[in-house]
Amino acid sequence: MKRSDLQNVYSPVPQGFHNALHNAAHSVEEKTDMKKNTSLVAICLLALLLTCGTALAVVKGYSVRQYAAGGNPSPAFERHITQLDQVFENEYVSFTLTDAIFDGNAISLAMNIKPIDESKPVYIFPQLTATCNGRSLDLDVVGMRGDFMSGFMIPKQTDDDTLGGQYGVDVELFEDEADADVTWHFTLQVLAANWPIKNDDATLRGEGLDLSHEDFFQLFADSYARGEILTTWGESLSEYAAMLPTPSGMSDEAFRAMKLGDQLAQSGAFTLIQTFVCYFDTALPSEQW
Amino acid sequence: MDKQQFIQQVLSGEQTLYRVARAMLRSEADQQDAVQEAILKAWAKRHTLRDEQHFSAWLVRILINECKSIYRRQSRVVLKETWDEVSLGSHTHGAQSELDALMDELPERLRLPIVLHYIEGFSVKDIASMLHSTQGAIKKRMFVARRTLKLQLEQELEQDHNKEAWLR
Repeated sequence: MKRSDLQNVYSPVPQGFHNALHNAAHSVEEKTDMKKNTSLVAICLLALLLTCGTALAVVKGYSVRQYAAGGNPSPAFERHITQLDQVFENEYVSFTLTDAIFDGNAISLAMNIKPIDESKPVYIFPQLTATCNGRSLDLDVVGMRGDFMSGFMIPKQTDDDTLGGQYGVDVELFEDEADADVTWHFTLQVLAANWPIKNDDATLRGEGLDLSHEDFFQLFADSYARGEILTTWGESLSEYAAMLPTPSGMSDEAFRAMKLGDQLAQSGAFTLIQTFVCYFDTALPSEQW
Repeated sequence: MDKQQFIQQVLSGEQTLYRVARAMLRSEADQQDAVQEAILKAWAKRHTLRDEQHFSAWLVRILINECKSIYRRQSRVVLKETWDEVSLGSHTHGAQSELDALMDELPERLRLPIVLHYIEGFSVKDIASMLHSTQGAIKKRMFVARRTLKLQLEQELEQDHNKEAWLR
């Protein structure tokens, strides 16, 4: 593929997008006020929905029936669910891996993760690996409810937690096909914060948008130097981890190759409290759904 | 920056804004919501822009944040579309549609740097700033994306060749 081949990717602009952009651009002053009112209504509705969602979650674990089938699973989908119901708990967090479904190429997992004591925030770093006939399979995260790429804080450090403790992830086999049962290995590192936690304003409220790349990342380096933890979006530590100094006696390459959870523990900002480990097998499906 | 200048700058970046939203969000409604929110936020924060020459990169960074914000509001984020879903939603035909579909086959974390660098001409440094990442990480993502695109394109060409041989 040549660079010139790419010049027409995603063009022309569809009419709907064109109209949305023009309407927004031409009504900036008037619409700013209108948006504020809409947001208030949205927040009230969201609060109501969250209350209902939480109540349901207490009664029943979050399942792939909701996560992957939109609450309306077909009979074939039901037949292929692998019920797991693996429950783990420590003084910080309660974790239930409810169930999974594997279609031969991709697996979906659904789970509940909830804090035991909201005053004791922890960072959750999940990881999934797989083997088939003794060989490791390359995996690619292709969908998620919660950040299954770089982990997340529990509880979220802002008051807009829309997940209600319900998490899910879709993982696809990358360039590999399963030709037999697949053994899955799901780990969840739980890290307790040793330092005070703050949220960055640039991603959260849009403040500091004029910061240069260097200035933005310097916020995280400065925060570490002050003995603080700085989250993005009130839950992610991928930027903070990118600015952690390499521990003495270790090469930078070796440190950056470590899992993010291990880097955070090594930095002193967090302590690795526990690693929950689950193994389970899925068979090749006999039918599609 | 007055309102007229702001509108002019936004309208001149329409294609760029669409490509960024399209690279990050599958739903057309979400793409429209994201660009509208980004424009409103940019207008409200325009006084924080120190150098108007960087308006385009600044607005793209706001739009990327809005797209990420939409990710986080949704109940389930789909990062990769299937070929069938892309074909159904495509607006174009023939070779162009296939190229869009190839791009869509890439995971979002690989697709967006390709759009921003090779199509929109932003520097690796600017992209690292927009995506809150490091220059090294962006270069690695572009390398993997180029390799994946090349592999996919070769497979496509091979399939076309086989089809032609069959018809002969």
